[in-house]
Amino acid sequence: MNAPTVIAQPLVAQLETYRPTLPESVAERQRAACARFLSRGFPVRRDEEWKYTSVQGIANRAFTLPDVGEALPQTTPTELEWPHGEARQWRFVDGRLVAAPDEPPEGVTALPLAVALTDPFWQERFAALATSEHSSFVDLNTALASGGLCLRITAPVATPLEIVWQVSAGVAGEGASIPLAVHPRLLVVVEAGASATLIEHAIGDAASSHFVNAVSEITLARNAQLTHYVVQELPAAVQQIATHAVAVDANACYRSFNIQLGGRLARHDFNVHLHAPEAVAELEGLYLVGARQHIDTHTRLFHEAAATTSRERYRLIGLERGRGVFKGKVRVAPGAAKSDAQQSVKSLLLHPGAEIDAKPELEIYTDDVTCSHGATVGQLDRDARFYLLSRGLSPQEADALLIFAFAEAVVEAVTLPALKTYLTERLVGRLPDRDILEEQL
Amino acid sequence: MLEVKGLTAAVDGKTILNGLDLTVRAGEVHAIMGPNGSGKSTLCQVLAGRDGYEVTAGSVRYLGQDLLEMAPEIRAREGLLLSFQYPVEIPGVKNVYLLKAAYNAMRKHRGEPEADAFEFMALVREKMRLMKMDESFLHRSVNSGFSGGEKKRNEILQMLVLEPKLALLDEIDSGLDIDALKIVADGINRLRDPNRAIVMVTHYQRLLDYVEPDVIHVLYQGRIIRSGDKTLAHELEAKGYQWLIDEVAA
Repeated sequence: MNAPTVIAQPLVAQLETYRPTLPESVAERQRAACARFLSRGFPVRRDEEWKYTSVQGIANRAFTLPDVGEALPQTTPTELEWPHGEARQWRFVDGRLVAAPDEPPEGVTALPLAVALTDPFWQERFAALATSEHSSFVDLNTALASGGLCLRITAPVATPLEIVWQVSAGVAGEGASIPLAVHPRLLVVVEAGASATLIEHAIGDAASSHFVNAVSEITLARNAQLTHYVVQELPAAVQQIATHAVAVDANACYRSFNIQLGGRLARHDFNVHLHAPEAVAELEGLYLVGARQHIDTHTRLFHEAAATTSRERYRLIGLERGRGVFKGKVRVAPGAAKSDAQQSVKSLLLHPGAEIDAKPELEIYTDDVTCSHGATVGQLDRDARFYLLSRGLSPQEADALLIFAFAEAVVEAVTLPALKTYLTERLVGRLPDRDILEEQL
Repeated sequence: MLEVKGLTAAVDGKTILNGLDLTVRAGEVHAIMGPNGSGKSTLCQVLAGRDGYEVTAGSVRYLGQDLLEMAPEIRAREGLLLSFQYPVEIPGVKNVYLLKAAYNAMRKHRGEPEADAFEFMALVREKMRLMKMDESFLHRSVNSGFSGGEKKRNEILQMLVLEPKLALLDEIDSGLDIDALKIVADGINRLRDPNRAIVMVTHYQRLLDYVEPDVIHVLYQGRIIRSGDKTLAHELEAKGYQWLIDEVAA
């Protein structure tokens, strides 16, 4: 086999000689997405939605695109440190499927993206929910999507489904290895009355400096339920943009946990459309922002029908000189009467160089709704701290417990015991005074 | 055990305690009463070491040491424990963690090894039974979502487990219905010990029917204006504070 020609240049330059990456059935959509991306380019800070997050470090950098049909990158699989127990696992390296369960659980059909797109069922769902309205990164993914998974859930499924998105150290180049730009795509359809738990776990080789531009399109039919865990633990030099487009039908419930721990830049967008009566969305999020990390999530909850409910709880911790950004938009459309939207965003700054910007945004176009939001940024609760001191705990112990408790609020709600234990250990490992916590917990 | 002399303290530049004297000996139970705003809660906070209170004059000796020089956690480890009028809700910190951390902090302070986990849990369960609290409470967050009565029972539970030398109870009876009051009073009576002193701050005579004090003090404008035995409480219940204030003013 000939060694692939490694072209490393900024993505915009590479798109000038664009060739669709997916089956012919969606080639037109891919070409159109490529053209739209080229006319719009990468978002800039002038765009309101990108005010706090610069992507110049992606736009100007040279990357290699994984060549379709190319041999798999040589990589040592990173051992997962959490006992995923009963979960069925699909593992991707640089966007390519490298391992899949022998047989998915009953009620689940799983197909690699390129295979699925030969089927009209998936063809009509590709790029249907995630559109260029969200950001030009969606177009970029649509144009360059090279791998991914399509999951169709047709019954209540108890076994958790886990996708591991792993990044390698890169392609061997002259001197340092060359980073890849990876564009994974995930499509999920949960049919009427069906339910599932999906874990997306992003990890990688510590030497990786890839750019990952992920898009997921998730459809919940009537009475469907999906619990969606996004656990981002990418290596310190990786930049990730992820767009999750979700449509929730009547009486269905979409629940997400967005756990942001790693990466250099991680921007996640959750666009959730509650488009039929009594649709429910519950969004939980936790960031630990360490040194030189920039973690940003934008959630947009669209209440488009009557009696829709959303609950949102985010906890952001600035541990070191890094930056956390959260913007939570709730839009209640005309006609979405009796809707109920509650948002709570709390931030904790534990380092003088840590910075957090948290912004709620409510747009309400109908009467008879219940909406509330609260955003706080600050230090630890002084009353709680004094209470603990008055019981003989040292200031250090009191702080350690209160910081842990702040983060634990989100992890506590995780319903998979193995994942909860894993995340608790991760938290304890990252927070100050881990020895105190390990002793207490 | 506790010797307060001429204690003067201010919050935001406003003097609340104004030359307060109080002596408490081991084995005694004191009740401090007084109208709203007389400085009862401030006294508790200053003794427990809450920041934001500025002591401008006077002294406090506790077990022969200068209490005001001690950090709040050291006061607690030395056996001075305050039960809060409004126990703070701490979501995410489980009761059992707090009890264990506090218990071990005190043992460590005395140079004792950490408690054996099994023995510690047995002790906690025994005390919980006394306070009529069920097992689930251990794994609930500290005071979080507790009713008023549960919060106060939790304060006394901590006292029973931590065994202070000086228990300061700030309005332990407020917000309690009669059943909860009896449980709390029963807990306080169990704390009575020749080696321990108890100081209860209260608005009402009611608590004193269940926990009989040795001494009653009336606090007014930051000073103790009258001390007496339990008959003073009955007199106050019948006549209010005004006659006493007038008498002192005269």
